[in-house]
Amino acid sequence: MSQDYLGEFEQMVLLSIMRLGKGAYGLAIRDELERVAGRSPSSGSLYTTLDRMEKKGLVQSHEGESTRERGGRPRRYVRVTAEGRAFLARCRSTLLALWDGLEGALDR
Amino acid sequence: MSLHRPPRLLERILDWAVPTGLSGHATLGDLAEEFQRRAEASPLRARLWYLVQTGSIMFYRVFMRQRGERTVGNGALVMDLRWSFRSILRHPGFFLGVVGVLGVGLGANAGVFSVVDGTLESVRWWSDPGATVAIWPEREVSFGQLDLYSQDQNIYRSFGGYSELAFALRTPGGESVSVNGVMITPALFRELAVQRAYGRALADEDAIFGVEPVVVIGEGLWRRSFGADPAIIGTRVSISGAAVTVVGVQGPGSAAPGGRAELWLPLVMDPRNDDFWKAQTITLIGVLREDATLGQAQDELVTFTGRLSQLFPMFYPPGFADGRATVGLADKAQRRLVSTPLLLLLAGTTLLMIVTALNVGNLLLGRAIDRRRELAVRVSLGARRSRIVRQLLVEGFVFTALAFAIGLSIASFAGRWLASLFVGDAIVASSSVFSPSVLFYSLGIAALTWLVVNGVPIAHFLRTGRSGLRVVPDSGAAMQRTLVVVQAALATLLLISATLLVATVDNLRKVPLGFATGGLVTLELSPPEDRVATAPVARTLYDGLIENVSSVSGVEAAGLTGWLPLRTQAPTTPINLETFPVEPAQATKAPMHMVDPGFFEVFDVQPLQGRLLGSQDRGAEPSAVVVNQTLADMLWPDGSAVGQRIAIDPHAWMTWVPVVGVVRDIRSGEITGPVGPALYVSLAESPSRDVTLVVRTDGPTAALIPTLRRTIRSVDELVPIRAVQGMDEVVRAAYATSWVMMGLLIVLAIMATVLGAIGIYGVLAHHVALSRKEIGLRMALGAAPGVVVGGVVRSGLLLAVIGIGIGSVAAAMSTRFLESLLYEVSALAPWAFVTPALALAVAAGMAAWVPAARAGRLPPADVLRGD
Repeated sequence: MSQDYLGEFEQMVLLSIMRLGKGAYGLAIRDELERVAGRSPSSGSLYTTLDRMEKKGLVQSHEGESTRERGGRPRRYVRVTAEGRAFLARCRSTLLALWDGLEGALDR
Repeated sequence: MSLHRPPRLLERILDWAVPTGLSGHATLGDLAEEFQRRAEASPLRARLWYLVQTGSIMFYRVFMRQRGERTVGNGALVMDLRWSFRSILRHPGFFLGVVGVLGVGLGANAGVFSVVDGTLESVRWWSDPGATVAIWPEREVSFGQLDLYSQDQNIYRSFGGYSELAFALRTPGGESVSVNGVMITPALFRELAVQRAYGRALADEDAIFGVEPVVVIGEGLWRRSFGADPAIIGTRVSISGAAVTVVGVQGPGSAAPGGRAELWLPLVMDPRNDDFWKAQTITLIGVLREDATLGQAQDELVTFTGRLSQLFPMFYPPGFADGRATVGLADKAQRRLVSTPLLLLLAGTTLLMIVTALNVGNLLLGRAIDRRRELAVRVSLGARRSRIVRQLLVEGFVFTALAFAIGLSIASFAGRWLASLFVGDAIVASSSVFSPSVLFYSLGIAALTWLVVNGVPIAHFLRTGRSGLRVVPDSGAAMQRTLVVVQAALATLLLISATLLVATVDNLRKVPLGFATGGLVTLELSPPEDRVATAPVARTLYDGLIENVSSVSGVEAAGLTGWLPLRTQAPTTPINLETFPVEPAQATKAPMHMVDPGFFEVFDVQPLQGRLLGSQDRGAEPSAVVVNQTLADMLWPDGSAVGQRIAIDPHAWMTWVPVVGVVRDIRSGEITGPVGPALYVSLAESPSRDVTLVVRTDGPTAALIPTLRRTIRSVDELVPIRAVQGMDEVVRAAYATSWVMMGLLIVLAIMATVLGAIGIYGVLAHHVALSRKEIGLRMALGAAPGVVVGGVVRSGLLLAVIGIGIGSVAAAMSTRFLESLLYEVSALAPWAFVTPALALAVAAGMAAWVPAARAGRLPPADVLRGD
């Protein structure tokens, strides 16, 4: 079933959101991805991914403050839902299971 | 912190594209926030970034919308691309033609824009263009006046002036080279936009009279003559005979002020020098304090001119500067000067691009009409209309993207070629077509092209999509015809503009100059101050030059002049008549040319009355004057000029000098306008730092130039040669802009005409193909081929005539923008409208004839049997 696992980019976005905690909104997520993972996704892919994950119930968003340099538009803060965390956990354990016993394999 | 707003248009597009509600709202907010952050570093780059983000969001919205899609590249888009390539492969010739035409159009546009951009960038002299003010640009001031002004001013944070000069620089190799330079107030030097590569800037202490002289040199000169040696800082070089310490190297792109200036010296002068108040060579510049306004600057200038009147009522009578002393942004005037022809050209290429896009749109529309069955079948089989529109968009996108790639590769050549056509250094191409602004512009034009190219067939499809299965006779034809009319109108507009310029250039070439240019070479010299300090010293130099140059084999005659005809306007001087003395302020004024006897010989000028200036006229003060015919007629209409006495020095207003001769009019300053009054005095009696050596040769001039350079160096190696040009080049340069614009507009107009004709051909051919049955039937019923042919040609001509009409009206409204480039041609000259109209009508008729003749040859029986 397609929703059992998440794509790599979605996982990275979810993890960035969790790292950022309360301060996770579009721009901060992109900065975090760039800082930690060295990826700077295009606006199109990032926001489409956020919308999609919200539709799937993996993240939840609420309206934040609006400032002058944002043209009076609010920030959209996102947090990972319980369902999202469950997905992440499942992905992680699957990956770890697959890695099990292979730790030395890459060194050779 | 100033607030940078994202480009409004893009924001509006995004607003429409993103989902409603918080998600979309917040997306726009994020982009605005990031834009703000980036704009503080570079507004241009931020705009480019915003454009890319808009593109990426649009892309995802349009192609990634279907539910369940998780990764890029799945399904829909790939299928659309495949569909596009399949339909391209079915008609490869069509595809190549379309992409080629669009590519050339986009390339021309990007090329012209890169020149506009590069030129405007190169006139960005000052680091704070919004606050840098040209004070009293109508005239140059003396050192004393600059001093006076700076004591009174209190609204500028930097204030000063600059003066352009040429210097003889001795290179480490021992060779003496001529280098253009600027003497500039140190405070102003530090306001230049160019960054320093090494060392320090000019400091205020450098401009105190008597301190050790210093210089900042340009990067180009540093590489050329000093092998880019970083150790040059602190060493001494010899500039016009003086040892000067190099304190800095100015970074690349150090264009201005002063054209290709490569030496910057502090503006300083001995207050005891005669020229301190006399020589008016300094351009005033000020950088406004933050709280000061242009209005205040204007008020201050008025106060200053008032003060001049108070101090020197003799030279500056009260009210002398009324309306003729202004302030304005320093870069602005410069920009307007160079950008007018370029912007016109940009308008021309954009028009051509629209014609091209319309043409391609028309072709695609023709295909859409042919394909309407295919599309209609798909609609009725359940394909969503949005899906088909998307396919058409993808197809157009493939066309445009490839054309864009071709265009960019053409653009860099086109830009450099174009810049090389304009004489002088004012027009330059952008260093790279990949500079953000050029990319931004070309992407915009490409997007526009995409819209036009696609909009046409899509609009047609949306109108007929449902009814496509029913055969609507000639559906879409009305739209096709409208497009052809628009093309014809644009072609007419370009043809009329080109015709006006052809007439202008023709008129300019016929302007009588008063001399023959063949075999004349001009060498601009700029001897150092001490070589022309007094009349006897200057005479040694001038005599040495003439004597040595005249003895070069191949030289027929050589002369010196302070002001070369058609290059620069000589400064005017007031003229006092002994028979009717007046104050200097009320006196008649005329340009004063300092020339030596050789000047008249070189330009083959004979006296009409009296004599020319000769070797006897070499006192310490002007002792004889020659006037031109216009001045003689103005002052002494009874023909008694020779023998009259006049005064021409406002400082010695009662010192009378005899008029010894009258000569014919020689064009001096500008090539356009009437030849005004002029008077000639002996250069030996009024030495000048800026002289031009004019040489008449008896053979090809190019071969002689190295010898002439050597000869001049052998006379005095500290006399720099600023520029060498043939006299015919000087004349051509006087109308070069009109000439280049004419050539380019001709090319654009011809291309537009050919495209318009192709458009007419395409529509009619398509029409004939679609009405085969009708035509066949009519011919079977007895219509003569001639009638059929005439009918088709007439319908083509009708389209052209409507277009010509619209284009002529548009031209009548817009050719006034050309007016500054026209000479003795009215922007509304009737023949300039009629000739292009006829030419276009003939082209349209020929384009219509081909399909018409095909219709006339249709064998009725075959047609009726076929299909």
